[in-house]
Amino acid sequence: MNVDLLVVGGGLAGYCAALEAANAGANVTLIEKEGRTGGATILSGGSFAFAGTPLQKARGVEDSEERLYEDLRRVGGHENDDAIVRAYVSNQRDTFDWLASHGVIFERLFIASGQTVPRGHSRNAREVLDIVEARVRETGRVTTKLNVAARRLIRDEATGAVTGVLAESGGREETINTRHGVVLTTGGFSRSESLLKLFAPQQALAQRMGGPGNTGDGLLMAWRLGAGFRDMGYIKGTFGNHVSAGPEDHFLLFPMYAGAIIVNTQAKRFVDESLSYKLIGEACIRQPGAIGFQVFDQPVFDRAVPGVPSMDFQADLDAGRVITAPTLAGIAGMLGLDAAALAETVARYNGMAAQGRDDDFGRDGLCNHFGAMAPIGRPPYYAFAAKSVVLATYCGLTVDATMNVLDVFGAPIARLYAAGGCIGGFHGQAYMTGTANGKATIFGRIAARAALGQP
Amino acid sequence: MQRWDEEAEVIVVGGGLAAHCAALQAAEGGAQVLMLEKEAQVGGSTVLSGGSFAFAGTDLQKSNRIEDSSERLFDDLRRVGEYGNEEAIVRAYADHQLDTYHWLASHGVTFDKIFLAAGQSVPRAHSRNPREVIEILSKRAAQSGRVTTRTSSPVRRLLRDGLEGPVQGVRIETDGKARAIRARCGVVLACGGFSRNDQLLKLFAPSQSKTHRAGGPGNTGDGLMMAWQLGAGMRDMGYIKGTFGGHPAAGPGEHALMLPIYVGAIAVNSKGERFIDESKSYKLIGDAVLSQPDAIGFQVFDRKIFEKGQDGIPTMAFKAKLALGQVIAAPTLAELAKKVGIDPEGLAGTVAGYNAAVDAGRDAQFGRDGLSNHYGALAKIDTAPFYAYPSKSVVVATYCGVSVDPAMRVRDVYDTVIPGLCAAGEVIGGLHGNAYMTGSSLGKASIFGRLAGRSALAA
Repeated sequence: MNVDLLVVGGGLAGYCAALEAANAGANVTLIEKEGRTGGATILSGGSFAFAGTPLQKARGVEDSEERLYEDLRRVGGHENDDAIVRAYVSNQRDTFDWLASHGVIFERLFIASGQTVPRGHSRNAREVLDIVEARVRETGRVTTKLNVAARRLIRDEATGAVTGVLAESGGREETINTRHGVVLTTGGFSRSESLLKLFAPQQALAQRMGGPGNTGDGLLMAWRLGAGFRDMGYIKGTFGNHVSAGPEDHFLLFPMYAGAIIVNTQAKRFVDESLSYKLIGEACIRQPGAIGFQVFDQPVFDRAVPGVPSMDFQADLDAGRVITAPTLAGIAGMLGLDAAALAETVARYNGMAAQGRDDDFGRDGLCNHFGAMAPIGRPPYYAFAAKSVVLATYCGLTVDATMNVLDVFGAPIARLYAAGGCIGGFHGQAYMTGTANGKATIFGRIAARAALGQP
Repeated sequence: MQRWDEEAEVIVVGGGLAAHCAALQAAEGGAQVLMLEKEAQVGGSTVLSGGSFAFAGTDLQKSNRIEDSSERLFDDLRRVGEYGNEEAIVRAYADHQLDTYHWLASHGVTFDKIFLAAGQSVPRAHSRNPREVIEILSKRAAQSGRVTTRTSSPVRRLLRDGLEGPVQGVRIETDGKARAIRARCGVVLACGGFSRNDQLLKLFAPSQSKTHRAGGPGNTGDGLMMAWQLGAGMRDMGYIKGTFGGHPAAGPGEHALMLPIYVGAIAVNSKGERFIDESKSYKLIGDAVLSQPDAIGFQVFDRKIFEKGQDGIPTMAFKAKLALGQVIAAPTLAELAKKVGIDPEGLAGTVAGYNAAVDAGRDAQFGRDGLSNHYGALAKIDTAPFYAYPSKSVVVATYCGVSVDPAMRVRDVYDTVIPGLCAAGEVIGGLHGNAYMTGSSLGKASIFGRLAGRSALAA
């Protein structure tokens, strides 16, 4: 079969690119290195940052593209690429409708890191991927090959344009040629120790997470062709993953955004808990043992959002990761903290919360200036022992607004596109919840259209 | 087919110490060499440096009764780099350093001063005015009759045969005109790091936004970017750090690092508090000072320490810095504190506590146990006059860059050699790892420059 477009990587970005291309009439081959699809997507919390949606309106949440744009730039410390942020913002409403038209409907909405209004549209990530995969199959135009790893990009010797990949499957090499080019949707490199050491050696004490295939294959293949990078120095862990988590466990829980405080092993607070969880992660790796305990009470517990994994406190209580005790001293005992020190920290915080002013770290709300701090005093008490985890690398290849990969001097690499976790330039300094799945979807579609010459 | 405007056997890109050593070595091997320097003058970052070379087992050390060896140097480099450096590259340095010391001597580059500095477990910094070193080697290169040096000749791109073939030459730009120059044997990138390129610093080291910047004006990462365009791998990018000891008023072209800490000064913040074990690598101290108020520290010392200064060694030239008004003196600690803007009570308490720790033989607060890296005995700060030197963290060099094999052949991102392309000096990564030993920059420029010159000739 004549392959119009080759998509490398079978997570959400790859499937969105494949679906968009197939719907435009293209014959697509999608290869996935692992034995199953889903990549890092299915390990994620399943939230999508969209603005101005019917779900928000139904919940009385006022939001707009301009507000989303401002939030994204501000969260990124204005270090993200304006053109890439614009590409997200101007295509997000259309992509929300596109997902809905394919049967991906969101029912839950919540506020999370970096958002000034509730903007996290939530749905089980595996379900989302299953739906998109089913739509892809229905087109009859997409060949999906599992256990096929792309090893090198192949270029036309005369023009330099990317014409395919050298792939490997079960020790055998094959060449896959394509007419319109290659879309790299291989994800980041949170599972490559050598790349993490190269760009972020200070994250040695953070946990690792991500799809097992997230070893930076796309980054390396494009880099060999001279692709530029963005945001490499901003790799940070994300705070809030349970201390027991392995690389494929997603045990992130954010009671801090419902009002919990975070203390270190000396029972002292060390950060404004309403900040981005990436900034909290930075602070956490400098604490003894690189550990932070989220401590909260019943009113905080009651602010849970059942069904949203990172806010479903009951689920983590049932799993034994959230612990509970009738008194703060009981919590201290279970965590091995000094009970008097914890009592003192909570008392001091409660005094400041009542005044609405945190003199120690400047906290002024639950999350990013939203919501009011409240004293922690109504039993029973709860705690969640967390570390910082590198769950995605949020940096990577330089692309333009059409997701065409650019070389280190800014020249386009012909017929090479990228989307999702392997691109840089979108996030900048810090990350807004829901933008990893958001950019996978939005940019996956943009890349496919651009590759087919249908912008 | 590429049309060539000109040709040489080996092209050396850059005009600092690594470039000169590569050119001279290739010329000694019989090659016609073209050295292309972007700036109007040769010398690059070398002439801004402190002029220290880390060599081990030298006759100068022996005559000063300092026991040292290649193996000890190897161990020190690995440990200072916290084993984040690449063993094979450190090994290449250790294996070829003594030979390079003799080679430099044979060309007239001799050393008469030796001292202990950051990361060294014995005095190993062989010192010589770096401008003199460049002048001597420049003259030797000219005398060889085989090296042509051209300034104001920025190399813009590497030219290779097709998409995957060997590097065959370079494209330069002079007076707005592009010219293609063929290198029959190979190209050596010896054009420095990127401490003068804010965009690259932001990409790899945004945490260093509060640092000062130093380094040769041409150090904008040209070599890194040209090799990167060909798919070159990288090493050590995440370790970029400022170095402690730059004066806040110093400009980027001024080598202003001064380090009385390594002869016994303490480092305090504006509250007068110590914040680190001062015998550690100045890169680690540079990291620590970034989280102090206004990202500034003060090296505080007394007359006894002042007298250990050495004229002619920039990092130890206390008298010169006093004359420039960068070192401040006062008859009492209290007056000193007032003059430089340190909290006087905080400083008094800190010095008293430190002196007591010196008496007790134990620094319980930060674990300092020597002047530098466990070597040398601590001394009390108690003899007037007292001195202070305000110090910031400065990115003087980037200490990271393209991936090379032990023969300085550039490797791609999958560790496959890119034929025809070699690199040496600050443009390469892999030697330093997490922190830096004084003298290893000029050391690697000369040692690796020679290796690269040799490999380019053989390419």
